[in-house]
Amino acid sequence: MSKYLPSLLLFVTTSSVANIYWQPVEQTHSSGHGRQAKQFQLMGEQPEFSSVIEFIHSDLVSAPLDKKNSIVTLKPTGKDSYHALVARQKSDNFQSLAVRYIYNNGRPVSTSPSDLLAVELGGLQIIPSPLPREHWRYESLKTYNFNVILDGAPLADHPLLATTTLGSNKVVHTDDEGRVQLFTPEDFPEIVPLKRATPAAELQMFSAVEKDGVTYEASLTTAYHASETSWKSVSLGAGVALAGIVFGFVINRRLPEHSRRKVK
Amino acid sequence: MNTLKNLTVLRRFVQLFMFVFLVYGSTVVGFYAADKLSGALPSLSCAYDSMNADYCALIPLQHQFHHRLGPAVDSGDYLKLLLPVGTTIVTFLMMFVLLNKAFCGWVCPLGFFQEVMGLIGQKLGLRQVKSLSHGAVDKVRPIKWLMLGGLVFGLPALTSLGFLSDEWGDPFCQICPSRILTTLFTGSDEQLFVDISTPSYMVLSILGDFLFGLVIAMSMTLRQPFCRICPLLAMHAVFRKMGFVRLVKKGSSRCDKCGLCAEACPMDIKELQTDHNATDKAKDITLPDCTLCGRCVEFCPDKDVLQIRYLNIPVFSATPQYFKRRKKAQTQWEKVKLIGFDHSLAKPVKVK
Ligand code: SF4
Ligand code: SF4
Ligand code: SF4
Repeated sequence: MSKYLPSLLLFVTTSSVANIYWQPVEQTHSSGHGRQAKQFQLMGEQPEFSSVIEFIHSDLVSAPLDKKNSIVTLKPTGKDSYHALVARQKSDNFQSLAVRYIYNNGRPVSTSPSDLLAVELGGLQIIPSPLPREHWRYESLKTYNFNVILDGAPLADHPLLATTTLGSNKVVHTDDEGRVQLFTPEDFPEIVPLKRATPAAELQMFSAVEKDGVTYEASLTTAYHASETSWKSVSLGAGVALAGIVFGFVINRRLPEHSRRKVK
Repeated sequence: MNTLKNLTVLRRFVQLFMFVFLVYGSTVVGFYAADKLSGALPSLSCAYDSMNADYCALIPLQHQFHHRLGPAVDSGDYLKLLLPVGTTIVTFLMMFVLLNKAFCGWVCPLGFFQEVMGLIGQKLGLRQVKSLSHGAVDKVRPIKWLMLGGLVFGLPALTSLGFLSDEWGDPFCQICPSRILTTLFTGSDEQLFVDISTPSYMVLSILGDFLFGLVIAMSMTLRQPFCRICPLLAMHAVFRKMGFVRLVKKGSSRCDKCGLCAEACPMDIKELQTDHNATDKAKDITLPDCTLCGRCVEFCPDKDVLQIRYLNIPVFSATPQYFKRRKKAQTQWEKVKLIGFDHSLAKPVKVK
């Protein structure tokens, strides 16, 4: 059992989740090729606390952001790779953190997404381990790993709530090293068989813990997409490859050979 | 013991090491694209392999033409295209000059795989085509240029300009055998698929799977079947005069009657035998199809007629003594067969 007291109260239903978390205002294209401004709304804010918002660029330069009606507008930074949108609410006995990693196109930077993930944000953090590689994305029916840390130290045997905006939810637990695996559900009601044709949904992860009289909360949100296995058939692919092998053996018998020493 | 001390054995070790490093090396270099060695490697190490150490130059080139040409033409700002393409080419060249076409013969995972399949074919007693007929070689040679011009630059460019649908933005990747091969080696069957979402994707994915099967079967009989049509081989050919490693020849009239080098060459480069036979000076004979494997030098029986040079310093030269040793080792190696199938694959035959 964890030495921290998990705040299981949070894990009732999605609507009752108390944490702050980021949500896209419009469904943005996550193809990674758009360079338009993107808008995100900070949900679940507790009015008695003010929220501090920070946008950490891929080169680790940090810029404060203002929000209007809980909405922030992210202009293209001109820098490539993942950026982190971070919101904090804080009081003497309460710390809440909302993080969202956002891919931006631009000129290459010398830092790696692993440097961004290593930025210590303080308190309770849910950290993708790893993020989908550049130009890849979260998809349903895949296993993803996350690390959960509290003030930099792994949080062992601790529950997290994973929910989707399509209605799935699941409680998963960290192992002894604070690692957790999540298998994403395929809950898209209607899948259009083409990459980017089915609108993305949101995957949200929440956790909370109490330590020394302070309640820590953390959220991580991201878009996730319908699994491509709906329109990509591996068994058909294997069949076609097998046909290629058979055809290859047929050709092999007919390949014309040249014998040495006679120069044409 | 001596029979194992030869360039080919050394090369196999290097190839095996590079295969493991390139296919699984993310544990060493890092997981993200930003962590990779260059992002424009002159070998078909694949970007779709989630555990790779680096990926080939063809994927950024296709993507840059696909995503940058159209906007560059629309805005008149061609730097939008030239800057990223220039960066990719310069990065590619920074690696390429060091090893030249040896990126094929010594580094490429797909090149190594074809050689291993060749060894398996030989051990199974399948038909071995020592040299493809000159006519067939001549017919196949232009295909690599069509692959480079058409699949790496042409179709992505036409897609970017709006003449083709989005599916044609990275057509070489979609048929590339290295994508399927290297991902299978990481335990993922995700890239061996037929995509039924659109007719174009379906055609491309079927072509890719079929080509992959074809390469597996053909490489058991014919050496390096895919290399002969590989667009990266064509790209190497364009820049080969900039590489520090070269194959040089100082031939004589004896070459006309010999031809052992051309027979040893996995790429069936007949000009090895016919070119530079009446010359006092060693001449660069790193031909467009060469993979700098060094096999021709190993099997040349005449002293210093063929050499591998690094920055013009001979690092490996033909000698009669080495030739004899190498020939003996090859004969012994070829005698070892696990099963003896005849060419029809149907009737097992006795192997003496
Ligand atoms: S599919 Fe082929 S061309 Fe594309 S990145 Fe992989 S190895 Fe390179
Ligand atoms: S020619 Fe062969 S060895 Fe060279 S890059 Fe292509 S597949 Fe690899
Ligand atoms: S010419 Fe020589 S070095 Fe080049 S591929 Fe043929 S055998 Fe190898």
